[in-house]
Amino acid sequence: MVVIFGTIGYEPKSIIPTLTGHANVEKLILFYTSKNEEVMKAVNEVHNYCKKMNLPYEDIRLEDPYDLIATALRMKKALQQHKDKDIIFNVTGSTKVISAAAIIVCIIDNIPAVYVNERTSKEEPLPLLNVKSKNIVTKKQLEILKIIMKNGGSIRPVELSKKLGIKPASISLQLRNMARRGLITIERDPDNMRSNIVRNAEHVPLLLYSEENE
Amino acid sequence: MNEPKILISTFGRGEKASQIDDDRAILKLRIARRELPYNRLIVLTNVPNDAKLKEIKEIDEKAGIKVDIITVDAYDFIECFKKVDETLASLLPIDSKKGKKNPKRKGKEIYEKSPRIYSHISVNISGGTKLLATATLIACFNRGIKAYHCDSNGKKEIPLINLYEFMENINRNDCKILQAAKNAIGYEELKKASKLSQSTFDKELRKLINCKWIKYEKTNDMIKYKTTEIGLHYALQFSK
Repeated sequence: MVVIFGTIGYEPKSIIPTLTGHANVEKLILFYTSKNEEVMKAVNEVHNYCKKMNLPYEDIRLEDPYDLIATALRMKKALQQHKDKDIIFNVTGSTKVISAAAIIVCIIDNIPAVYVNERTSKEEPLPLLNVKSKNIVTKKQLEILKIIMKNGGSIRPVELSKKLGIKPASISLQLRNMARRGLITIERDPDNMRSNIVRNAEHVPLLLYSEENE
Repeated sequence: MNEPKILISTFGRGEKASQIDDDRAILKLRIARRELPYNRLIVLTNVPNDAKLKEIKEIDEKAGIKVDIITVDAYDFIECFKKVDETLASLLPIDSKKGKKNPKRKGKEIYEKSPRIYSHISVNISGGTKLLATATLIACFNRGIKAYHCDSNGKKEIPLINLYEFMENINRNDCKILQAAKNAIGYEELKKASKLSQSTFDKELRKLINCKWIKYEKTNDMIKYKTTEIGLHYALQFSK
């Protein structure tokens, strides 16, 4: 059985080909961002289609169409609730930021993403790389990110090395590597100019979500 | 000499765009130019002759900034993806990495392994059609380049889900397989054409199927392998 996730904006046509194009569709989860009349019209049209097809649906209204991290976390939560199902994510509708959030979630969770071509109304798969999670973040890096998160989002390298039980010198290379990957930032500590402070990047909660909510 | 700062921006409008949409489109490009530092501008667009775009080109060129306008079909995902990726590849310091060998991997890598984010390139995905923006974003993830969304709310950085380490593991063996499977081909024929040992061939083929650069179809009890358009694109890029 397949659960279809879809972002929707003004065009109901952007989601319907995904509902018709797959066998054994069990449910539709719709993400949309505004109470705008045109969006609601499109949502209602999709609802009516689902009713006619006897297909259950669930709406998830996103608060801010430009808050990528909050949107992606909400999507992760919904994916977690359906983790034992086959999922297809249609990222065609809504704002570009919402679509970007959906693409990021699909890459992290290895979910097949599709879009419906506005010109042809045909569904096409997005060529997302099916990478192992270690290609995005290694186990060691995940451990470091968790410690930083537990510490309120930032930590001094010395404290971090104590928590990991390793020498400070050994951690500096790993931290530089993580900074280059965009996982953390390393700044001068404003309270102690001789020390640095390491902060998690804004999207780290996304990478830790699955582990923390298993 | 100043370090080159390259801004790549998507720009354009949908087929049903109104005057308001046109104004928004140019506003997004203006905001990207204000928010992201650049001394070279590359615009990916389906409307290369747009009067306001030409105006921006003139202004920037008078200021000594090189402006390139690349025309794309904003409704053809594969074409958009290929053009964006080619543009990004042409700006990356690939040549300097070529030929450097990692003794552990018998010199098969095309790139040297070195975690990096290319900070001299910024990409704004707020303009143009959703399809163009999506293709651009995915190409940025694959190449390890930061993308932004610039509009009247300001500049928003898209978190970089960096997949370059995967791309760095693409080696000449993969290119051989991708090129051999240009036309649908059976397992034995493909293995023969790749000139790889059984175990290496199986490992590389599995990797390429996983990343959807090779697809397979079962016809008359025979499995045929075929390189996808994206796979072929990368095979050509990496064999350059």
